[in-house]
Amino acid sequence: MRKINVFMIILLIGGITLTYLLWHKKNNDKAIIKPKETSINVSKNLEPPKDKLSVQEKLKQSKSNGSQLKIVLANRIQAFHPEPAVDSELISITLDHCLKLINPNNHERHTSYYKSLDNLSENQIKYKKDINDYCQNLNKTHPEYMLEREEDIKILRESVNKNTEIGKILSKHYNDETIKLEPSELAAKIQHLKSNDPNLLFKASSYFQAYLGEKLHNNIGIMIKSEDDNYIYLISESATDLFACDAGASCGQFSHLMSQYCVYRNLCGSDFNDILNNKMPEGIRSDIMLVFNYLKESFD
Amino acid sequence: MKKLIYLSVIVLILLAILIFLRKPKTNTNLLNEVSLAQQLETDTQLAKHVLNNNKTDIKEDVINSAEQNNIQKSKERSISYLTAYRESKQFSDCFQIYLTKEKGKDLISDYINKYDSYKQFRAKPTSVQLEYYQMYIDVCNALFLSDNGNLRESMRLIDKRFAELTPETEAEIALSKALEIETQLDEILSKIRNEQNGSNQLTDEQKKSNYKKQRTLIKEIETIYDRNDGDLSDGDFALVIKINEELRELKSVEDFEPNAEEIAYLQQQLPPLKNQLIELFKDHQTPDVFLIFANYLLSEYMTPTYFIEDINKKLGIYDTQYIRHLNKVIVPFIACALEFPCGPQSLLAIKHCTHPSGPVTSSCGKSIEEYYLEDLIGPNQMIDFNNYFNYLMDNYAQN
Repeated sequence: MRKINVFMIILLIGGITLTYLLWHKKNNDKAIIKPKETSINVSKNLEPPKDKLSVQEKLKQSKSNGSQLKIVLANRIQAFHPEPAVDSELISITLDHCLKLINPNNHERHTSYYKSLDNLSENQIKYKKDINDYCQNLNKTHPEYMLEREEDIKILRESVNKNTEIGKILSKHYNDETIKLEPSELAAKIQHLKSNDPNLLFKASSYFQAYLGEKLHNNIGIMIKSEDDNYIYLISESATDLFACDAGASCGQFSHLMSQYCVYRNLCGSDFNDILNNKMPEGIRSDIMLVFNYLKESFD
Repeated sequence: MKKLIYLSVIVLILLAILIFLRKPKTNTNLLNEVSLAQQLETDTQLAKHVLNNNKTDIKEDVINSAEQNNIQKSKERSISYLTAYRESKQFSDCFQIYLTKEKGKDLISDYINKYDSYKQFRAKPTSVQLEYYQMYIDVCNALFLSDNGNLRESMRLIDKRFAELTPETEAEIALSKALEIETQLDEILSKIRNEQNGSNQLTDEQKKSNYKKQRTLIKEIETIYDRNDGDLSDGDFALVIKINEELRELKSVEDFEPNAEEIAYLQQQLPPLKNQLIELFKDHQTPDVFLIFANYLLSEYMTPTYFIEDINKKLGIYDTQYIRHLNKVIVPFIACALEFPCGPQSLLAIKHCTHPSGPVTSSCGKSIEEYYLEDLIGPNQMIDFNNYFNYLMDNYAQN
């Protein structure tokens, strides 16, 4: 009996030791997969920026942001919406083209892309001049758009109140994978966006990525019976733009939407309906209408 | 009893040894990274390859050889001018395979890791796709002519082999004429590019130095990708963006004004050459001549689509993005209509079937025409596609 007890004790100790060694080894295996030493020295001026601030630095930063926000709020004139964060979001959505034209240094990449657009049609060349005049005029006549104050627009945008439904949507709360929306709930949220301001619909796919991203893309493919990804993307973009325009969004000749279509795609016209009916051939127009009707049925 | 104790101790020691000798599982995600340099250098989209790089199929007999795993190295076969040309184009298309092999990665695992990688909900390649991808690998291996695994040497050998052959058939003679026109066009386009970006103002030494800096920066990006387990950290992402900006700055020359007159003069030399291609294609409607024709007249590389006015007024298509897209889709289809190898196991079809950017499994086992008509192009899209096809055929493919 005693000998058996000794035997059992040895087994027990051995088992515990093995378990510990296995656990320790597992942790070491993870360490093997950690970043390895590089043989090439990354130049000093290309060292990654420090991600982490100390608690004191974070507090200091938030205090300074807070006082800046107060100043911006105190001087703010409502442009489109009473809530400052929503207002600034709308300025960014509807006047992005003017912000880039008036602040070219802040958008170097955009400007250089703009410059690299060769072989523009006469319509496009004329439009580029006209849109520049339009934005400069807007800047003079509408100070509430803050077209020279991109930093202030950013500060207001960051002040979004996440306790309101619109605040949650703008904060992309519903992109959280753990939150599942039924179709009727999604439709209600789209309606909520529309009732706040239909221009917010232009960014609906970024607010509801899980439903209006890949899933919608796949559904559109099935609807129009195409596996051509690039074509499906074209249709999806135009149909969602049409949906926003139909809801009352800004789609006139000098709107941000039309500036994109004209400058980058040579689809120039008085408004989106004009280019849809007069500048698009039958096939693609039919598919855009098919998807637009689907969006209306789903979300209106 | 003592024996029992000794036995249990020995068993424990053996177990401990086994545990420490067992190799850690390689995290296959480490194989997942494609360097940015490679992404910049190659693009696996079929249409872009066909359009911009004249990627073409090789003969069915090589494919059949590959399928039967009885590959005879290309250099041992006596081949025609046309086959040698197509194989040299296909060699360029296989670059990604060769680069991946050079890094010591397993090609099939690499394909699986990259498959659908840009999507939120990733699918896996099917067994049919893996089978077809293996066929593609076999074809690329058969084209690798260097015995010592040297990529540059292989490039040299395959180009040399083509250069030593003379065209014999009518189709081959037409192709050789198209290639002469292509060389002239490339020369002028290169001069235009240099005038536009100012690189013609740099000395040879400056160009060499810029090239070296470019290589160093690209290697730094590769290192950053290599040292990350999976996604780039925020810090490394910012670093990659910064390096890309440096790369862009390297390409531009400071305090430089392009010579507009010189550029205009060079651009005037393009239409006569393009018209020569149009006439050549009208007289010799072969797929290879068409692909060269398409590369310069149906793409927007440095110049607008040649028939843009007709497309606007006769077809009612103004959208440059849509035109670009239609061109990409229609070019392989027309090549197939002109009897380019497009069968179910042709390289063109294999590439559709194994496309890593998304499942196109419906294309597997179908010819290009079947795939286009049954799956790829929807009924409404077909209206525009058909109109464009008829326009090109009626105006440029009939005498």
